[in-house]
Amino acid sequence: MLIALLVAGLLALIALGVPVAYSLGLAVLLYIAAADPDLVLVLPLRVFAGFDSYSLLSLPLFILMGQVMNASQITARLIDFSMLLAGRFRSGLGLVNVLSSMLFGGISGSSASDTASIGAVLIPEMVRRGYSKDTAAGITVASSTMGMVIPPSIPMVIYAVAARQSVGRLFLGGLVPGVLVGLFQMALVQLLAGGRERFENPVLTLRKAAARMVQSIPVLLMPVVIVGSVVLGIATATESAALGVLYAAAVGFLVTGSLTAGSFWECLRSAALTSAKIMAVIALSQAFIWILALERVPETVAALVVDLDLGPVGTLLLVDLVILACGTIIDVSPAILLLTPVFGPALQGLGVSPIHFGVLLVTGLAVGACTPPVGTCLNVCAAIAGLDIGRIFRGAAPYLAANALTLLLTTVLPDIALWAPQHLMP
Amino acid sequence: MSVHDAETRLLGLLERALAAGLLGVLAVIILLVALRYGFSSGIVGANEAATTAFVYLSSVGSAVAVGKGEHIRVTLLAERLDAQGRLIREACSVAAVGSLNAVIAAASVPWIAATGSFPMPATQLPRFVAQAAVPLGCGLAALFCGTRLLALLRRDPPC
Repeated sequence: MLIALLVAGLLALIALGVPVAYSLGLAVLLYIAAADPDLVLVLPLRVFAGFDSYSLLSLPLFILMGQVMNASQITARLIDFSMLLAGRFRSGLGLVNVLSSMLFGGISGSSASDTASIGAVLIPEMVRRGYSKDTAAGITVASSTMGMVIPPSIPMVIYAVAARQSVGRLFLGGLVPGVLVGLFQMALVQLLAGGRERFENPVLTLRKAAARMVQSIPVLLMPVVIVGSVVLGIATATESAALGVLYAAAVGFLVTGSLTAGSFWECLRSAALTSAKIMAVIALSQAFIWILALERVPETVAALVVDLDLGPVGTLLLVDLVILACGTIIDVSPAILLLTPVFGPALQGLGVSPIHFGVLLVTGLAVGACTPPVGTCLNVCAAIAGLDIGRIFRGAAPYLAANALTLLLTTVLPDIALWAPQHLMP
Repeated sequence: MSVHDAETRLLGLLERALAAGLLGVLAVIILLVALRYGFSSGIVGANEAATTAFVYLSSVGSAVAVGKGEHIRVTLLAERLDAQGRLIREACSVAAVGSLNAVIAAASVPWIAATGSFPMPATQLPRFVAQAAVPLGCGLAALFCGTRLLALLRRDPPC
């Protein structure tokens, strides 16, 4: 009865437009008022426990790193490099869009920045070359989902803290599925959008190609520095994020020359605020998770899973559906924090690796960023392309099949997620 | 100076403090890595101090996001209401958020009184130095909810 009050209260508050973080806190307060008002004294302790984490210190730094890279205008270099590799093929711009997102995902860890920076440059150019606006925006939005899966990934950091897992192993876990999403999307671009592009074969001498390659090296080394330092044990996730900021600032100030003291200060201000919004969700979700534990919800879900007797793969397929459904209505960070304590223990009881579950969770929730009503990337793209989110979603839907296929394959074949962490970080 | 102007100034001041705080945390972490690999040494308690600063950044930053109405939310239903309905919904939401923050700030007092004098493991500073971030952030958030409620009722533009 009390748990029904907690869940119904949470859903009602979220639906009424109360911020997600405070919906969690108010639902807890509602529960406390009905169950035992003395429990309110524990509330500040749970909130403090949510904030007080050295691992989570990497969160504002990863956000800052992405923003500094954006302010450094690296997008042009990534697109130039992608043009070099894929621009000469049939439907080259579609491929360039996906490839740029793959590389951008390896740098920023944020899908929304990916949509904004790549979309602003490529959507108008794709439309000029014959793609419909829906398709150009759709490919941009669908490909930006890789930003959450390919390391470094901000959602992976949040899951690592929620499930008490290694950030480095989760980063590696997302590597193969992230690349698979990209390859499948490229295949779909060839299949579905192949005939639309007016081919413009740019004359590119070997000298020009070499110059572009050299210009791109400092940007392409970024993921190697960040992920490599964590995987090789040179730095913790927090330290690697700080080194990433230093590297990004060096690229911005010295290589591209686009970063100024003023824009760096603006990045600091914006990153602190963005991270605080996510931290509010994390802190108040700690209170919510505490109530779930008091009400023995994880144990109840575990018993239910055992009763269903679907086996690990059957159960994971069911969980995938829940993840996809949650992703359409809840933002990625709160969804990770809510689903991890509910399903994590039950799946571990079935012998599912927490790294495997984390990769499935983030891969599935990334789709939600492109689906209405709560699609962060859809909203960003709508502002850039000047289209309504329904049209963008219709353009993106065929390419999201790549994400669904990757999710299915990773569910059935856990080695897709586990091979890299097992072999590179044993 | 009007309430609106005072709120705008306070938010601006806090945002500058947040940016400076994040820069400080970044500098400390880079310094620690440099010391470890360059001089095989470190600074005792620096990680704990950085984490404490992060608690303040998160807590105060969250209050600033309340003041600017920028927290993550689902607006699907809210967008379908007419102007009057939106105003009532927003006022109820702000009042609820303010009440929650006020409750947490008030409940922090006995918690800090009971446990705040224990030393932190590395810096040996009393725990209340870090714990105080919770009532500070929640108090500021409750204050901003009060001013936003006032602004909503007077239909002032947001900060």
